[in-house]
Amino acid sequence: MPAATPLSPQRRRFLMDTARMAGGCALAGGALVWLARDARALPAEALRPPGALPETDFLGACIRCGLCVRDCPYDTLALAELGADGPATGTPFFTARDVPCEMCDDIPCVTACPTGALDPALTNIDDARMGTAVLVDQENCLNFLGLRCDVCYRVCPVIDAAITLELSHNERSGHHAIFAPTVHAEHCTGCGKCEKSCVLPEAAIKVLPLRLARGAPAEHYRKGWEEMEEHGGPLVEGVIDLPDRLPGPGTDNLAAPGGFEPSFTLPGAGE
Amino acid sequence: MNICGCLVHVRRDALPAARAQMEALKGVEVHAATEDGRLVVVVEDTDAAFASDIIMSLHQIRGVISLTINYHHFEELPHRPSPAAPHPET
Amino acid sequence: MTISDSRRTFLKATAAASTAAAAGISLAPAALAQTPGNSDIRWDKAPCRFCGTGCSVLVGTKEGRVVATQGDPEAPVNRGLNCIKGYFLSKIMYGTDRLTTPMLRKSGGKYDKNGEFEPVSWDEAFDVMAEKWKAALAANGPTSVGMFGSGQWTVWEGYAASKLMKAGFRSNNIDPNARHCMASAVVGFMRAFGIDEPMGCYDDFEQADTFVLWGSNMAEMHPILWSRLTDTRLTKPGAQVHVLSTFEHRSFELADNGMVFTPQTDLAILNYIANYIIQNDAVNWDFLEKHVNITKTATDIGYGLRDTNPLQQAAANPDSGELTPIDFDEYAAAVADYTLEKVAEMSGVPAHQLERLAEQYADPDRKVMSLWTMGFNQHTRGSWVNGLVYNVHLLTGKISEPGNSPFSLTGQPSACGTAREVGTFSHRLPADMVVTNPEHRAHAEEIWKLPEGTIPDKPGLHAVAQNRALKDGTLNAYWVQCNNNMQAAANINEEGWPGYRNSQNFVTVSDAYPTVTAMSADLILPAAMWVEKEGAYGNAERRTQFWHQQVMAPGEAKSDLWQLMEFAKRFTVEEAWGEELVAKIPELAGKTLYEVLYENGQVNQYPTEETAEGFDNVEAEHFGFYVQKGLFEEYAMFGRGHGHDLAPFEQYHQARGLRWPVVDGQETLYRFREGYDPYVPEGSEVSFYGYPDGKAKIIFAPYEAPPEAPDEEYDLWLSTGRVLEHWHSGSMTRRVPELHRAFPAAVVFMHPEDAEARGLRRGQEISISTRRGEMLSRLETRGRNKPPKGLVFVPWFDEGQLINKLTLDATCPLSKQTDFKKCACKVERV
Repeated sequence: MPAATPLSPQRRRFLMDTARMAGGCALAGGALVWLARDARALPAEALRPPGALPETDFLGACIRCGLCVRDCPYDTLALAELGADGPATGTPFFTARDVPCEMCDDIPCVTACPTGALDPALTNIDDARMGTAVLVDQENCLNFLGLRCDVCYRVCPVIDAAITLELSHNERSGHHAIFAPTVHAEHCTGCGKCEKSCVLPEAAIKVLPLRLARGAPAEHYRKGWEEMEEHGGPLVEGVIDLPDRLPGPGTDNLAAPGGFEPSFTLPGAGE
Repeated sequence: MNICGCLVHVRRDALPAARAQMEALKGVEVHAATEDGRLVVVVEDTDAAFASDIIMSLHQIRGVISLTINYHHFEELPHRPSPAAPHPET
Repeated sequence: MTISDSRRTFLKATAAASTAAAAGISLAPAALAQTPGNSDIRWDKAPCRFCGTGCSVLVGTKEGRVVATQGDPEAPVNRGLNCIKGYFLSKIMYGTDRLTTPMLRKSGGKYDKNGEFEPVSWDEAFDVMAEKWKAALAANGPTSVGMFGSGQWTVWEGYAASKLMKAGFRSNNIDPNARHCMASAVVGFMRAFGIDEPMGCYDDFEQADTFVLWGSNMAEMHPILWSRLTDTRLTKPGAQVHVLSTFEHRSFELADNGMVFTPQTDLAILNYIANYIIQNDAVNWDFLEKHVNITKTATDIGYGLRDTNPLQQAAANPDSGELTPIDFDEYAAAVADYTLEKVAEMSGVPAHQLERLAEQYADPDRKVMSLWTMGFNQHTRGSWVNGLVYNVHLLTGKISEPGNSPFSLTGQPSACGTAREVGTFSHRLPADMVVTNPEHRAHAEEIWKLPEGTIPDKPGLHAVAQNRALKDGTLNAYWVQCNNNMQAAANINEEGWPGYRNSQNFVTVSDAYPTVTAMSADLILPAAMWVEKEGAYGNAERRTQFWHQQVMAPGEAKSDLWQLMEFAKRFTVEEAWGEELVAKIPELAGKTLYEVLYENGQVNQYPTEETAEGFDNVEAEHFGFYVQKGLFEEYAMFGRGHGHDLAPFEQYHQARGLRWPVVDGQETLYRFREGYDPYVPEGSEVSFYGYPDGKAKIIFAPYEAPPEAPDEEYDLWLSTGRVLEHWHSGSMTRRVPELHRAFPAAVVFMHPEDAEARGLRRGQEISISTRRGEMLSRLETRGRNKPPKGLVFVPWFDEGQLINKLTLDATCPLSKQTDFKKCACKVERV
């Protein structure tokens, strides 16, 4: 089955027809379960406006007034018209591939929201987290093939922070570089300009709601190198190291295992 | 627009006739057949009928034992005839 | 209910494959072949249609249509890679509004300058056009007819056009759009070396240690070359990239030393570097004494504006390119003014950054490649600034060897191959010859078998002068081919538009699409494009690439070559030349220009049978001989033995492009260097043989202010340029839906604080204006370009936002190339 898409009457009809068929029973049964479940939430590619509270809170706070949709100057936002009932109906969303968020400096949708479902504390659009871009298909992304597309990178309103081009040597061509578009979720607002402008028939970079796009770090393990930097020094003070016995002048073995400077340097190192 | 990949089981003796009958239908393509009577059939919407209707009609072909949908692709076309296509009333 | 056939086929194949896989059935090959594949696609080579990089592609045709392309994996330039424009090559010919029939402005069934476009036959089109041209010739002589051509013409189209204008109509009023692109580079080459085009090649991208970008945003404008440069920066220890521009752009991303300077102060920075080299005893004395003469150029030369312009009248030596020999001490004293402190102050670049840049040139152990495009060339002192970068390379002897390379990148696919080598400029003849030199004219007339005195001895109207002459009514019959000059040329409001619509003039435009220029014309001729004709392009590293005609053009569309040659049939030599000239060779009497120029026993000596089997060749079939080969071989007679040697015609159809001079079956990588260049005499190491004494010229030129700078009312610099997604005026790329979606409309890039100071917000509709015009656009304070305070950048690809209504038609007085990078504007709320 293809991934979940907004249900259209035609599709429903199709699925219902299928359900009448002997051979299709099992399949349609599965689909109906999925249909019933999915009517209660937006499809995966539907994104909430800037400042939207976490989904359950948002559904509770949003009164379906449509003011944010009315005030969106780019007609980005629409109201969900999914099932006949279900809590998501009437709530605002946008689909990045169709019309992305233009990231207005004055965030009119948030200003318009009477209930705080779109959090009024959001005053800098750069802090919005409507979702995050994910380069979902490296095999088809033109830049990963060595071509110079990088359209997603250049349209990014937070260019060089939310998306950077990570450079590497192109082994196949021998004398070109590969410019890999790389998303940094801590800067990505989820506006969707990248997904909108991806030149492939199906975008290789997609904006997904954070709940789908991101893993979450466990509490029980910390990144030592980051904690040390944040702390400005070792977290445990006063740990000592004894010098290594070496036949001649050497260096600390943390810098150079074995106690000696390596006799060669790797390409690109030491720049 | 719907495109379905279906696996059809046909009685071995009825295979040539059933296949020919299927291939004569608009919106139906037979992509492969095995000697034991299995057919890979692709069905798509036509101007006159949804793929689902066509699949129903495939059941009526003499010699067809069973039909399973294995793959279904659906997409909304850019210019729908009307936003409110008929709902099934069941 | 539409879905593309190919997509539907693909979906069905997927459905079948997935079902078959689930059932463990193997699909018959016939079913598999429905997935996009290579079956029954014919692949053949061609260069990319777009920029001067010259990437090689393979073109896939099926049933008379280009259905796919791929980068040629074995091509030395791009090794199978393309930028996003090249990726969509297969779609550029299939825009829904392709022109397929000639269109003439008519009312009441007759031509009317103010009528509406109506489809007409080729016969009617050429009848009306020939009548207008004959009337102009009869009334005002050869200087009243003219042509504006292209660095996107194929080599033989440029050659046929140049011959038709200069020898056929005896008018030097032919200029290519390369005038807007490369003219300053050409003058730079000719003045410093006496011969055009770069000495180095793309292999320098792997050989150099330091890359310096002078007014070039290679990251967007030469994406595949940038990829090579980036790879060297990544993999070669110690490699450095220095980037200079008047605003921060994408190339700064890789810069070890990124410098934003005040517009026009590049002149001062280069003189500072020369000064640094001298002060730090880094001059390569041996090289300098053996291979270099030192001169200075005349100063205060004006800005190429109309003679009535006060700035032009104030100039002491308007348009003077006079060179005066000076000795080294005089030169050292001249650059000594450009101290680090002074230049840091002038340019706004911190002193330590300037010093770091100068060190790269001075250090004898570092190989330096200097790269530039429009930042240097579109400059009111473009010819000077091109010379200043050669000064630095010549002082240190860092030239004409692997990795030491002052390299002028080209914008157009055949700026070198067609515009420059063929000599389609108003002052040039093939192989670097000029119309002002009587020996050169005589040589051309001899090769062309024409009477002595056929070619006029005065340079014709250059690009900017053509628009002015159209407006003044002194250029009356005008033909534009393969470019979109109404959108591309500066000052549309005051010059271009009034010129085209002047009732005294008849303007013909040949194009594949209804561009702004076509819609401004009186007659539109539908053109075949790219692989709809056999062609040849020459890229920035002197590489000439050929291709076969792959498909037929739609409808009645015909190549520019076909159009030029057919039109030539409508004039007898008496009509075009006058009796006096015809009398010099009586056998020519009564013949048509077509017979004299193209059926001269040379151009028509190769039979149609020699064309490649399996490929169409519309021109050969129509005219009855192998037109392209005949034109090429006649053209090649000019350069062979004169440093511009081209290989035999057939070899280009076999090779992935060859770098001239091709002598004894070998390409040339580095010119002027013994061992690499066959023209350098044994034992001389280096010979700049463009000049008789074998020496290149250092040409001192000072800083001079630009003609228009921000003031109280117009308080911002306006710089224009391109974006990666679109090629020039967008006439091809804006018809590719995916590219259009990627960058749909032009915006005004501005510093956020400048926006705030004007009470403007990002995304807001704004008015941008200069003394010449106004345009509505939207404001962008984020994204790819980050201008400094006081400067805005606007791309010019968008025909819905004609930024050239605002730009100033000031040129470099020597190269006549417009400065599109500097004028004064203001931005306001609407």
